[in-house]
Amino acid sequence: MLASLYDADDHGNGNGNFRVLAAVLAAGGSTRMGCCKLTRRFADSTLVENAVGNLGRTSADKVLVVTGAYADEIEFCLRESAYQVECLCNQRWMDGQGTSVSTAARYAIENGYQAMLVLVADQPFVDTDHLEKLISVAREQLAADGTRGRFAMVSSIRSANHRQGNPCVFGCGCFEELLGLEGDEGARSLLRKEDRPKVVPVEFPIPDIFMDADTPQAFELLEEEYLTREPVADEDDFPLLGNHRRARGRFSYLDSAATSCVARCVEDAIVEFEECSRANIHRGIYELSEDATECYEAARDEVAEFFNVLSNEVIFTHGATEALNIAAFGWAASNLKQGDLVLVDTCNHHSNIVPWQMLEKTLGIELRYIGCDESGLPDKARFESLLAEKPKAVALSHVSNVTGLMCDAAELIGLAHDAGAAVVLDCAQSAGHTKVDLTQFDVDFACVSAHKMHGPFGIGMLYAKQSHQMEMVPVYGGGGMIRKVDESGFIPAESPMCFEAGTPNITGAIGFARACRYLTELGVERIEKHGRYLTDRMISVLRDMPGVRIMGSECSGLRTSMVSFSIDGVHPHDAAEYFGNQGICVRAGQHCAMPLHAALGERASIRASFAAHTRAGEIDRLLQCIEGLR
Amino acid sequence: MGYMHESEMAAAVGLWEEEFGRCVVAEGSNPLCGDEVRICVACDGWGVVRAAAWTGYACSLCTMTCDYLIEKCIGEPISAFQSLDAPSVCAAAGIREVSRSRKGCVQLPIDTCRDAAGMWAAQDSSVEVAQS
Repeated sequence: MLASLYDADDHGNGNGNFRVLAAVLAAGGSTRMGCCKLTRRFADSTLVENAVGNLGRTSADKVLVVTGAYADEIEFCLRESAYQVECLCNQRWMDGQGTSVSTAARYAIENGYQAMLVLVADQPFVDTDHLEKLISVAREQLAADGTRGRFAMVSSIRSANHRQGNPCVFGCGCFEELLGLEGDEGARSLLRKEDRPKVVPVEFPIPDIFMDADTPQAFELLEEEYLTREPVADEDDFPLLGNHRRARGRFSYLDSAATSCVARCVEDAIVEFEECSRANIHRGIYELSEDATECYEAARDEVAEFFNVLSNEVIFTHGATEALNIAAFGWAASNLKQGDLVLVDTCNHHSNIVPWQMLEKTLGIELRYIGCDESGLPDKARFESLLAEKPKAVALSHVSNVTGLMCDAAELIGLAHDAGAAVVLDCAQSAGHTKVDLTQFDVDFACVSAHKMHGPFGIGMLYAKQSHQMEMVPVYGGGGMIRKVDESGFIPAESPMCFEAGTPNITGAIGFARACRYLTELGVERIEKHGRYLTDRMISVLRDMPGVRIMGSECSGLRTSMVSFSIDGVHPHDAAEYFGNQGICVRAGQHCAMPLHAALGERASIRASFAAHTRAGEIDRLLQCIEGLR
Repeated sequence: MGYMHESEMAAAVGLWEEEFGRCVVAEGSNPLCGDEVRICVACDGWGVVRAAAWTGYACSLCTMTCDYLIEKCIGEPISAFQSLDAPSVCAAAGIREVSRSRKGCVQLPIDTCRDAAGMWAAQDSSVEVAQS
């Protein structure tokens, strides 16, 4: 029978693939839990639904749930859920897990499967990527080697003892032996036999795939840990991700620091405005225009609330770069004079460096660079010594767009203010990834870009403290920014209108506000926690890879949502192209931060950056690709 | 000659100047990725390339292009650099497909070679002016 399974001309599902059964072992009595742990609420779902859901997203041909002690509860739970599975009760569940494997093996034989993936249902950190990798390796083995299906792909982790375990995949050559399993040991006894099948360890970089819970206390801890690791946002919230996964298969978007995926609700808000309220604002004396004005100003209110500032302190711009230029040319150019000192954070993006360098040329201000310490953060000692020279302004970056490290903005701003300097803070990489309370920071100017916050392109914000707005002059002249024009000159409108010349990006502002609301709905604190978890996960593996250098401190918990690194002997562009060919989008180059690269002694780097939708499995897949590249 | 380490190239420039009379060294960089290449070309009195080498930090595409240009320029007039263009260099060097975002990787060596040719021509004309 096994030979016929293996030798079949049509291997399975008609598309050339071997047929793989995915068996979820869910028969246990959960004796230490005192109830069925698989159907207990776990992070808005249940463990068994989590397992079945992950398997349902793989290329497995069928998902079978082997039930036992709580057969009715599990069947009811799965019937209520959206998953298409078959449940099979193992009447001998009390004789141990081996009998459940045996039950699944019998089903596999009777239904002509060439391989069987075995997953215990209480390992919530086993995700779709893990499972798909096992299945694809098994299919390759079936297609290529001479074991005639007598193999086992076992999950393996990189650790001192190279622990191995579930989930695993057995080829059809093992099915007869699995039929005879007894007791609690499961299939492990098969792998210890002298004439054991070929064992292929499938390595995963992170040990958490083996985490499970047997007691109520452990269950709660597991759930807490799981909630930190689970993506905060549903992938379905981002049409781009689904479209690319459908078109290309595996697709991991790890370039959110360059631009984030726009959220579906943002798209909907934009379409709704365009279709129902589109008109120019502030000037039309008809209902549609008044509606549009209402929408635009409501958007300003919502953005202001997100950053905890007053509405008239929000100046809509095309993005963070324009915002920083307005701060430099609208405020600094008319308030600083030749010889005045401006301190510039070396960690800055070029957009918070170059405008100051332009003023250095045109106005004759002096620039000093703060430099960075050994961790990659602004050099506080040097900063304090430079403050003694009484600078008039300081240009800081809240979160570096290279290292992802977050400075203590409130502290640095306080020190600058004590020295009499105004602070221009670039929040492009922090907004949406950590709570940015500009009033709490007491910052003078700050900027963000909506497209890095799941919003649309072409819209951003300059926050200008009310007291500074009095000192600013409009950078652009035109319609919308004036109160009166005659041949003798013009009188500007009130702030913030006087800084928004011409027809603004009204639709963009609507989308920006919706993005802020979306982030609030998700919970910025949860996003931050998730980002920290992902960066720590990546760094914990990267730092042990010989030849890989991480940009900035390797310490845990300092980053928001990105990690940049370089690989000895591999140019970042070449690496990024290789990752791109594997369906992983990362950034490579200098990320518009040449001074920081120079300070950190790197020519260029590869940057992986994350968002609320990023899954741990995507990080693991990137790590595996890096490992393969070294 | 192909790729040389920085120090090797410095030594080569001295030797080539002695042997051929004149070298030009052109530099270029790509701000997007941090690539920097320096190309040294030694010509005889007729402007024919007798020796050439490059050094720097470069990705695989940039390296392939540098290697190709340096290998092929020997025995050719340096003015030929002026007519280089990316599609023909890629075709000749066997680089089959270059994505839009990596065109600069190929363009950098080409531009640097053109600069070298320009420097040579400028020096040549200044010599003529001085002689006249």
